[in-house]
Amino acid sequence: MKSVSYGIAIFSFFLLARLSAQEKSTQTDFRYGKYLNVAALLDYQSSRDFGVSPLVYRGFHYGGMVELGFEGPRWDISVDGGLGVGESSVSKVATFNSESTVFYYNARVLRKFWDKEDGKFDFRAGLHLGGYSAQRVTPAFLNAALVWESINTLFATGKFNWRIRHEQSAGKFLFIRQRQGLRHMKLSTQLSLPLLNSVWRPDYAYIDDFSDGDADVFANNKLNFGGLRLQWRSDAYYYLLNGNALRLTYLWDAQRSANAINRLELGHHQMVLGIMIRLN
Amino acid sequence: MKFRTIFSCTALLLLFSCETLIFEQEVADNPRENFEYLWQQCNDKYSFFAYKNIDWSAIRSKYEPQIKDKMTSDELFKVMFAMLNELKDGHVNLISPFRRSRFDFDLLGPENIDIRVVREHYLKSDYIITGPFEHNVVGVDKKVAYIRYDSFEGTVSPAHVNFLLSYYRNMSGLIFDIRQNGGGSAANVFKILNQIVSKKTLLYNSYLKSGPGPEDFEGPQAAYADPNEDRFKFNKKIAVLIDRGTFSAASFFALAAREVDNIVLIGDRTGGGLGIPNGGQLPNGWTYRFSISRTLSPAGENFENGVPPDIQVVLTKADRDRGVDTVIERAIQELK
Repeated sequence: MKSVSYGIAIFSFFLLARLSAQEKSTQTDFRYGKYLNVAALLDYQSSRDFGVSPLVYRGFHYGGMVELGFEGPRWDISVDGGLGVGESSVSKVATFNSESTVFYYNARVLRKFWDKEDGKFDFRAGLHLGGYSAQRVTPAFLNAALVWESINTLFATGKFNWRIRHEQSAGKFLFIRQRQGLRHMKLSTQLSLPLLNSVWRPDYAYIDDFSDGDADVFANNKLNFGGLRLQWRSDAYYYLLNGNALRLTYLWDAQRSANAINRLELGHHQMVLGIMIRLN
Repeated sequence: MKFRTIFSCTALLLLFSCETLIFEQEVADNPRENFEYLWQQCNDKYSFFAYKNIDWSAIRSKYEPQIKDKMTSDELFKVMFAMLNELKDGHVNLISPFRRSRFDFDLLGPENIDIRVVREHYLKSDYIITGPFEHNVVGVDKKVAYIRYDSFEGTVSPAHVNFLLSYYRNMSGLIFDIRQNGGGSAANVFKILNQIVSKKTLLYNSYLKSGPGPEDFEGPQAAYADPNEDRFKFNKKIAVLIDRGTFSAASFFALAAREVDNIVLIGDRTGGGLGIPNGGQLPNGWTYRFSISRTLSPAGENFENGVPPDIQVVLTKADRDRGVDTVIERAIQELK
C-alpha cells in the first residue's frame, strides 16, 4: 500500500512539473506531438453470459486510463491501459448484483492516407489491438459465481479527423476559464472492425472441476476464436495555450463471443475525460 | 457555437448506438419459457442421464402439459421441482425467494445414526474439540478412538489431523464418523488424507461435461492424496463410518478412502453426490444448480448412487433404545 502511495505521489509531482513547465510553451503547432493522456472514465456496461443466465446485467463502472501516444502529420501511434470497477444488476424476483473489475488495454497504429485543406481534414487507417479482461463476481450463480474472462481483438481501424481553429473570446469551456486567443480543436471519429477476435473464458461446463481439492478459476477457461466485436469512438480535442489538450471521448464497444452454448454478449458505452500532457 | 452544436448532436447520436447488433433478443419471462430454459440447461449439461438411464425428453413430455400461461409462480415452481426430482440427485436445486427444491437423498436408506446416543454414550461429557472434530476414547477397554466429523464445511488444518493421530497413537485403531455429513469443501478431503496416506495414492478420476451428448465428457482429472512430510505416521487401522446422509464432499471422502490401505468403510451406502454442481439463473431470476461432472473410482466404477461400505451395518432399533450405536460397536470390534 505504501509503495502505491509513493507511486501516486511521484506521478502527481511529475504531472505538476510537466504542466507548469509548459506554461510558457513556444510550440507553434499544438496539434501534433507526443503526449501522455491521463483520464477518468465512466462506463455503462451491459453484459449477458448465457453460460449462467439469460438476463442482461447493466450498471456503471468507474475508473481511469493512462495513454502514451504520438500524433504526427503522418502517423498516429498510441498505447493505453485502464482499470474500471463497478456493479451491474438485474431486477427480477429480486435484484441480483454482479461486481466486476475490468482491465482495458489498447494499441493503435494508424497512417494517414488522405487529407484536404492542408490537414484540416484527414483520414488515417491502420491496426488496432484491443483488449478487455475482467473478473466478475455474481453470488446468484452459486458455484459459478466467480469468472475471469479476456477478450482480445485485432481490428482494422479507420479514423477521420477534422481540425478546427477559431478565435476564442474570453469565457468558459467545460468549467475552465479561457483566455482570448487562437484556439485549435479537433474532432475525430474512429471505427474499428474485427480481423481476429479471441475470447478466453469458461468452457462448456463453465466451472472448474474442484473435486481434486484445487479450486482454480482459470482451469476450465479456454481460448476461442470468432464471434463479433465492433468498436466506435469519437473524440473531441481542445488544445490549451500551453500545448496540452483536453480530450473528451465517447466509446462504444460491443462484442459477442463465438461459443454458442456459453455465449457472452457485452456492450460498453464509455465517456472518458482526460488531459493530454504534451511531452515534447 | 457551431462546434458545440455539432459535438452535442454527434454525442447524442452515438449514445444511442445500436446494441441490438450484438445482443440477441431478451428471453421472455413467462412460465413456458422458464420451463423450457431449465429443461434445456439440464439437457445440455447434466452429467448423469446415461448412468441413471433417464429419458429426459420423456420427462419433458410428462411435465410440459402442466405448464399454463396463467399459472402462479408457486404452481410453476412445483412443476419444475417435480421435474428436477426425477433426477434423484441431492446436488439438484431450484431456488426462488419463496421456496427451495431439494432431493432427500438421506431418506433413500435407514437412518443409521442417533446423534443423542453418540453424544451420551460415546463422546460423553468429556469429549475434546479439535478444529471441526469432536473426539474421545470409546469401547470397554478404551483402546479405540472415536472422531466425529459432521460437516466438510469447517476448515481443517493438517495440524488438527496431526494432533488427532498423535494423541491417539497408542490406540488399536481409530473410528472416523462421517455419517449424516452433508459435505462442504472437497479440499478438506485432501487435507485429511494427506496426513494419513504413506505414499502418493490415486483416489479417483473426475470427468467434466464437454458437450450436449450424454457421454460427452473431458478428462480424466486425477485426484491424488500426497503424504505430507510433516505428518504423524499413523499406521493403524481406521474405520470410516458412512450412511445415506453422507453426501457430496463426504461421499468423495468415502470414495477416496476405498483406495487407502488401512481404511475400512462401515455402515450403509452413502447418498452419492459425486458430481460437481454448477449454478445458473432462469429468465425469471430463479437460481438452479445441477451436477456437471462425474467421478469414477480408479477402477472405473461410478458410485453416484452411493459409495458402498466394505462392511454393511444398520443401526437397529433395539440397540438404539438401549443407547448402543450398532455401527460404532461393529467398528470397535473390527479395530480390536
